[in-house]
Amino acid sequence: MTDLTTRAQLILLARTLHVHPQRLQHLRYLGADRLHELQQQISGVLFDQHTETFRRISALVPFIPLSISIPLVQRLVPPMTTGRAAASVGVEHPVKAAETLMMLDPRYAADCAPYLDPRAIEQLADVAPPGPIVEIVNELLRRCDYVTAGPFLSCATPELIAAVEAGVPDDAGLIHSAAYSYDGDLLSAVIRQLLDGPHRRIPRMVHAVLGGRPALQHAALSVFSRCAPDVICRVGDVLFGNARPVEVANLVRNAIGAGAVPEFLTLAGQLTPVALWTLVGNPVFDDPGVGAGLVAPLDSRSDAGSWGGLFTLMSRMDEPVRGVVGYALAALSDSAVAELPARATETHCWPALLDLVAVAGPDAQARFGAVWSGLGPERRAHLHRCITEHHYDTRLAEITALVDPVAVDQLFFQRRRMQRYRHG
Amino acid sequence: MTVRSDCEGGVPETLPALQSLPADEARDLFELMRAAVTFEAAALDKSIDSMLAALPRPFRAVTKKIMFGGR
Repeated sequence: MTDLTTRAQLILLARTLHVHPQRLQHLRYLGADRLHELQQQISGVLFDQHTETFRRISALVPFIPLSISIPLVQRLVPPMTTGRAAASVGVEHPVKAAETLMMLDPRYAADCAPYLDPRAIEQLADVAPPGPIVEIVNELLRRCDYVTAGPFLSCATPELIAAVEAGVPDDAGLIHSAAYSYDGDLLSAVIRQLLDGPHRRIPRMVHAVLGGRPALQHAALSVFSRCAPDVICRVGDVLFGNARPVEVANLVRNAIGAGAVPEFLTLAGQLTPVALWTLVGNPVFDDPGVGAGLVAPLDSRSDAGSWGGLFTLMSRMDEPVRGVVGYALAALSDSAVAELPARATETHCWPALLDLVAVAGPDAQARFGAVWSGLGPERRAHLHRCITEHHYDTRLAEITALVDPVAVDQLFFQRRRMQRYRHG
Repeated sequence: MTVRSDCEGGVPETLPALQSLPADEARDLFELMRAAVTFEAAALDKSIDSMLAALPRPFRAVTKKIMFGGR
């Protein structure tokens, strides 16, 4: 399933090229980063081709009163064209740009928004009057144009965010828009401000999410999982501190159904102890399908966020749940099973992995043993060391029997011999 | 009266981001980009013409001078 940031970048690129997103579906394999790069460079060409013309329009601004030009522009100029010109002209005349915003019909302005130059928007954010911006954002959300609203919200100054906080009531719309914004740091800054703000928007949004449709929950998980750890921590407390058990169960099942498991696990891995134990205690995990459903999507994932979240969550579950998850780990592809020791090392979760392996049952352990016996000598040695260090020798005797240990001094001897051949 | 596009043809030979794509995909995107450039340039030209025609007479001379002067 294409993640939301990739989908947003694809839509933005399609819009830049004036084609339907379907026309560019074949490029979704490129992922969000490369699509973003393409979109920026191509839209750069489209803006820069008119540098001279926009300079001339800018030179004209002092000579024609806005009261004359703005009504004509709205009547005669396609929003795409106004959008392209607006930012570079606005940067030259920031005061007039602010006045223009006050005069424009929010619907026309919302039509122009997708075509604005993001490079100039950042410069203009400081002088943009909050009132009209809030009206334009409300209009964009009314149209469900979240792909346009997202980048806007990322550019927002603290003053603009405060205005949005107070003046944009559409909680679901803000979450959907945030899911399409590209920069995780900026997103964290916005959510931090909302967490501390006077209007309790985060609890309101969380409430909307818990009662909302799967698509909204997917968007919310995507947003929160991309934030900085301190933000995830605080949002997690709000999310799991206020939710009823049936709502949490719903969220978990929808995460599995919507392909948002990595996002959900990333969130789970950063929770405070209270939020974590609240989540762990939810009866939804008694369903074996849920345990398996949380493991299967990780087959193609190697990020520490998802895996750390899985290990963190599962290490606190009762044995039946851990047994299901251990078994599901053994059912992953050969390459994924082979990489499990690496995942445990990266996430500092060796005890959790060993425990899951220990309760996974004899069939699963036979598979772990078979795959891990094919690992290189250093990795096998590391595996044995971890098993011993964490006192799993007895419980994992079958595996240690299958995985041929390599004495460390033998390893060094072999390495020294290879070096001698190379330099000799 | 048309404003000539600032770069003749308007499109650079290649973009860095296109170079890492398979040739057929890069070509396809390049063509789409060229079409977008042409489309937007035409829209801008038309808008300038419409605005000029609609502006009150006293503003037309200065507009023509600034937009088209020195070309």
